[in-house]
Amino acid sequence: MFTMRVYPVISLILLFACSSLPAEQIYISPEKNIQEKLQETLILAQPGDEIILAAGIYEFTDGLSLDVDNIKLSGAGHEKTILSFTGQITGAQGLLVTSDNVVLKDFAIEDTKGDGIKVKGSNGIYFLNIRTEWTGGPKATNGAYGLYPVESKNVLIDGCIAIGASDAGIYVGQSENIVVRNSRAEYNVAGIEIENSNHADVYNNLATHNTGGILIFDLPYLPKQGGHTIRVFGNQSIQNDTPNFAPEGNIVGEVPMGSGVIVMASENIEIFNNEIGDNATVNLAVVAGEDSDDPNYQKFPKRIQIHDNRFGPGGFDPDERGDLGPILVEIVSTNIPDIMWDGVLPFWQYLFGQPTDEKLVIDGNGDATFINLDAFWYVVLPYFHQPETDINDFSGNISPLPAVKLVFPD
Amino acid sequence: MLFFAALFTFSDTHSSVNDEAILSEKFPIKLSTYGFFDNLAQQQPKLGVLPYNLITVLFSDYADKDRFVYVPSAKKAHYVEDSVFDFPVGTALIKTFSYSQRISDSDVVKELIETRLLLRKIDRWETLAYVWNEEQTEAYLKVGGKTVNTHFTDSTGQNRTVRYRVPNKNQCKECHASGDSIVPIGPKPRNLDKDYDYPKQTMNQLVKWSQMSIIDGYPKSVEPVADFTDLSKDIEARARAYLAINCGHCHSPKGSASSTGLYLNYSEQRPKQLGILKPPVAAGRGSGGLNYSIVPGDPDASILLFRMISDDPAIMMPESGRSMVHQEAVALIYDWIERMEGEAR
Repeated sequence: MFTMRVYPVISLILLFACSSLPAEQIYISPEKNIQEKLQETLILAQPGDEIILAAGIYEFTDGLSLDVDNIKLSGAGHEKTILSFTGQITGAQGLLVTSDNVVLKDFAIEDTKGDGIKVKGSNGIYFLNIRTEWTGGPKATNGAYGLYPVESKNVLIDGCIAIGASDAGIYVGQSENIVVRNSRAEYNVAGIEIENSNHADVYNNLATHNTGGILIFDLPYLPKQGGHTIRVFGNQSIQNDTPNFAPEGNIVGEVPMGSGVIVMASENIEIFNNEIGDNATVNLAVVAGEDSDDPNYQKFPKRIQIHDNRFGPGGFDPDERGDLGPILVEIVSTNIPDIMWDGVLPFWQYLFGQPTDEKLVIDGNGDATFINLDAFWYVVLPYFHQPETDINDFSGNISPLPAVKLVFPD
Repeated sequence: MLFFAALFTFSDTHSSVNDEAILSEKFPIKLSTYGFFDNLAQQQPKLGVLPYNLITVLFSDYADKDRFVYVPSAKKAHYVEDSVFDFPVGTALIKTFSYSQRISDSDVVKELIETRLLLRKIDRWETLAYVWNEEQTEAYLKVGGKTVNTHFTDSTGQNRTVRYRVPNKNQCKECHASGDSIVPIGPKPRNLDKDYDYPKQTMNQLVKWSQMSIIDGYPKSVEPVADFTDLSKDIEARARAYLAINCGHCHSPKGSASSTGLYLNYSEQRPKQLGILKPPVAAGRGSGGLNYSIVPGDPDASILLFRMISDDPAIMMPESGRSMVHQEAVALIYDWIERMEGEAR
């Protein structure tokens, strides 16, 4: 449905953008000196041009970058046009995009030393049927991110595949107006991560065999904070069973193996119609962010709505790595309910209660089980600590969040 | 009469630099087209093309750099606080990268690798790199970057090999970007405030630039940055000077690394933004299993140092512009962090 609307708009923009120069189609195929050839093409391209990469394996020793607006870079399919960085010597990523209205379509980026595709500060970036993969399977020496838009607006990730990232396969950070759909993330530490971003729709994706399937995080000390208004729906986050292989020091290094969906900090999050199961630590967790001395950081999750999800088996063998796992095991032992909230609130709310409109709402999730760890009282008054397990205490009316509308810049 | 004499001097001085080439949107293929040099191969500048140096410089794999500034006659650059001079349209900043190899005690061979230009067009700065030919007679425009494998003799007399990368046009932007525009990095008043051995006399560069009417003045209160190699200077000042010129152009609120929240520009004073006990954000393997950018008193636990020591592209900082480790800077930053006081972790 979106696709139908998206394409005519893009082509219109491309037509307008090149009113002075006729748009060109530039054909590239694997050849000697492809590094310089493709990089020069990416630099000399004019707005409106389409760069077409023929099927084949392209080998690079250095990172590539694109800084021209209104460019389409397309291959012959994500299993046919393969940009291989096995022999990469320089460059923190395979491809860096820093311009607006860029379409990346139908190719694969393999085995980069750092990130796969990083996009920074772009307005209008479209990843269509792109694959990023580390072909040697999950390894700590793999690059951090597969698809990595940051500080961007109007981000579409559609029909993509991300495999083997040592941080997140699909990672959208400090961005707004985001759609991630019809994509597959597997054998990454985090499958799909939306971090410090607002207005995102994550739907119809499959996250499997990651350490954690889908993460909605908000972190301190960043220029853009206060992630909010994110819908996660119609996804499958199942059997995330790859041991955490992230280098220490990274936040995802804390994610226990077998996490389906984790919401950390963040506000206005709606999680519905997902299938979440076979996750050994916990199917769905809502937790507060870590303590920080950042005065702008809002560490408590607010207005989180969880409804109409289907849960399979979960929490049957919690991973005790990181911060969360050991606490879970200590409080709950080894049978973690489907939905877990750490129950951490601002101190005054323990005394006066949480404002009604900020409360967690859980409704219509079939026979899902629940626990409020009430972690604060567990620490303060362990003898009197009684975790709450009645899911019905959290039922309520759902206020649906609006769909994300991608806006195409001029 | 005096007026005409001055005019004559100006036109004579500058007549031979090709102002049109600097402004042209069709970039010349050859460096010689600009007419910056009397002797291109010897890098002898024309009158009006003034050589200069910076107090603390960007590390580029131990390459030597010769810098020149050209401001068209009757125009001047203006002072801007905490910034590079605001150069007028038609300005050229010229930087030639070279390596020297000692063949014998009396024979040192200098190999010119590339000459980078920052040209002040009517609406923007343009970055261009010209790569020298093997004969060392001309340099040719290269927008897509190039790898040059070569050798040089280091300060200890060792012969070393280097895989030098001429940056592509986008890589120029990675460092020179500020928001949506390209800006020069080096010629800030505080980094120019030192003596230079001009052919006829030794003189403070800012004084010379004023005399030459390249700039229209500068406040006397300019505090020069520390030379990071000058052991007589305070280590804090040396470290901050080094980090500012080597990291601070990207690691600043408007730079390419804005999203990291780690800011190493000269004016940054907030401890967390400077990396003190700041957790990494999207460092991936770059974290090296460490938890903070800087742990006061513990350089080995500091990501900042770890990334300076690495030459792995997924880990090393800066991301581009070096393939070797800057040992002298690593030693400085090690000392700086080790002597830093702060809460123990």
